[in-house]
Amino acid sequence: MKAILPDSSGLSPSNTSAPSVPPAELAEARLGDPLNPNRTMSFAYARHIDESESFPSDAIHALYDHGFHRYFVPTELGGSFRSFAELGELIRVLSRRDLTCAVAFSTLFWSFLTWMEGSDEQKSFLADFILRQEGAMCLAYSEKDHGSDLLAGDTVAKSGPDGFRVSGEKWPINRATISGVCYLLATTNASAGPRGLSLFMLDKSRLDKAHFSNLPKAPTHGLRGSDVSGIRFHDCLIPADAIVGRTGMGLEIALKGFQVTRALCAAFSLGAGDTALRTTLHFASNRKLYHERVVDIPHCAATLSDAFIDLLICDCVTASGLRAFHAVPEQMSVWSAAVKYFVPTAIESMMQRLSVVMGARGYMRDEHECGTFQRVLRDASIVSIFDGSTVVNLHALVLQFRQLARRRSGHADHESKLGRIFNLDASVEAFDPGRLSLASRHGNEALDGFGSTLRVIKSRELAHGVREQDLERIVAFAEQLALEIEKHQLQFASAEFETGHLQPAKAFETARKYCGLHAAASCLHTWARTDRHVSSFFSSGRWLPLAGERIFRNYLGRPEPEWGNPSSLEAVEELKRLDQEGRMFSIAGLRLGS
Amino acid sequence: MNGLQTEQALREWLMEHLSKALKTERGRLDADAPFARYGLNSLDAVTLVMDLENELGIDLPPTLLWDQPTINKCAAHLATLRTEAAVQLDARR
Repeated sequence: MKAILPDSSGLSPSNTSAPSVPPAELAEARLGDPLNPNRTMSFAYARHIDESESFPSDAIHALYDHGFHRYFVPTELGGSFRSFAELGELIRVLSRRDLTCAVAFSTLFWSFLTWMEGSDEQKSFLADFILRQEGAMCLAYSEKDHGSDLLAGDTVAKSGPDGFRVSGEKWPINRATISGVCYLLATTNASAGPRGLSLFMLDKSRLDKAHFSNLPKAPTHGLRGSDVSGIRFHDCLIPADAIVGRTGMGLEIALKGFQVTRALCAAFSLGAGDTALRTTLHFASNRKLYHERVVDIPHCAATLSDAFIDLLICDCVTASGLRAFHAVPEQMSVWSAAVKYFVPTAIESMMQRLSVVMGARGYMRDEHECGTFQRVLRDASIVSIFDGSTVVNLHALVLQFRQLARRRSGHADHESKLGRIFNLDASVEAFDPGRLSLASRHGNEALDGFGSTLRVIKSRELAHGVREQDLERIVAFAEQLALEIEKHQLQFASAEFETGHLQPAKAFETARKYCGLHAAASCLHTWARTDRHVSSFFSSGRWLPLAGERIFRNYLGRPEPEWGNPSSLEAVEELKRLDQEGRMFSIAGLRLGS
Repeated sequence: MNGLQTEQALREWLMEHLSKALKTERGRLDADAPFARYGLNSLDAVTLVMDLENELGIDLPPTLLWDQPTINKCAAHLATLRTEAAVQLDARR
């Protein structure tokens, strides 16, 4: 049952238009209901690998059997990757079942380092390795003593006549042991500063086993079945053709690679968030306290509503953030940092609030749907840390403030760009990695183009079930947001240059606000520009004033919105309806597997 | 880039700009020392290039200061771009 996307699915590599069956939908259909213990990646299975701390080899093998690995390989190399948004949807579907499996399987996204910067031979090797050998990879950047300080690494690759001799230790590395390919960042010139690092793609089967070894699995708080271990090289000969790009390009490639993977990480959080909310909703719907069902107690209902709205906000941020790779890749140094900061932290705090509704059940490892709540809470808490922590992402934004304030991008083509990013119905252009940049010279379309969307919203006629009162609130929200964006642009423009990691704490708070503005704008852009493939609740805009209220309160220090406090009861009713109909808590309300 | 016609003028301008950006007295800057000595990390260097672009009115590779890691090297490199930049500027007018 290998490599199985039948032609009838409309997913053949030559088909570059939107597929008739999106991979996420296909994955839901094939993986089914995770509450059914007989399914691949069921909650019972997730409990088993968590409790036994065993690597989910059989589930991952099944994911390859289903052909999901193909979505990580570009179509021109025989795979099915066309769109980061599509790939993100797939990762979300896997993540809602079990994050340990999803994260272990998705180390495949490191292959983009090769698709972006590798030689033709490296691309061909890697495509074959993934598509025909169930290949998987690890990313060996971190070192025990240096964390995210990549330039401080002690791993050295010395050039010689027969290749490079590598010595050093990388830890903690996801799939360091259970992987065939290792991306290694090592120093090739200690005196060349940022040009001193080089990136290597190592085919471990070609290395002398006497010269490298693995460090034992590190026990972790969540993702307990993961192979979080390390790899140690001691005078290990690696072939000269293992280098990705050229000598000295390692840091540049690594930073661009992070732009891709950081944005994709949001999909882990979205999947985990769906499950945390769903299992809480089930609990609250069935449990009675004080003669009331928990779901009907106002405080609990408000918590559920807030969580649902948070998921919709994060969905807008993620979907547009992933589409931006295709439309405005030169801005991704900003978008990716905003997405990676906003989504994991918003969903982690949403889960913490849901734990109040779950009460003691949320703390038990075997109760209520296989102890899923406590597991997903533990598992998801790593997403804001790995692949560039919250602080790293906010710092990346702080460094770009002055540039962002200059808003160099012309105003003429806002409409076209906004349509390509935020109209989720529109097909995406081919991804051009050559347009990624270490810093954005072209601002951030979500904020720079907000005026265009404000005009669209203000001139919008009532349609799609939008009620007059809701539209008034949405317009008020959009107008307030435009003022906030203007106010903060002035703040960014006056930001002073600070070197290194000595940025004042206030700058990080400003970066947090920036992410809030980006999120609020993403919601309004997405609503204004997407018609089809959305749930009626989404298109009605009833969620938008609530979303605005949450973002203004949590990120902009504005607790009482001027557009009035809409009722959260409708959101809870929608939540129940989506669950009863077996649909994802998302913009599109994807049909879930049964 | 008016007034910055020579490598010397570019070096002077770079010293002035960096001493302000790095909050370091001009006299303490060594034109042959790597930027890293002044606490400029790799991403700072990228954003500083964006500042230079704005001042000079030309597009520069974001990794300019990675490849030309001292004031002298950077000034020499910018001088070689000068003619081309002047042409670009003329074309923009």
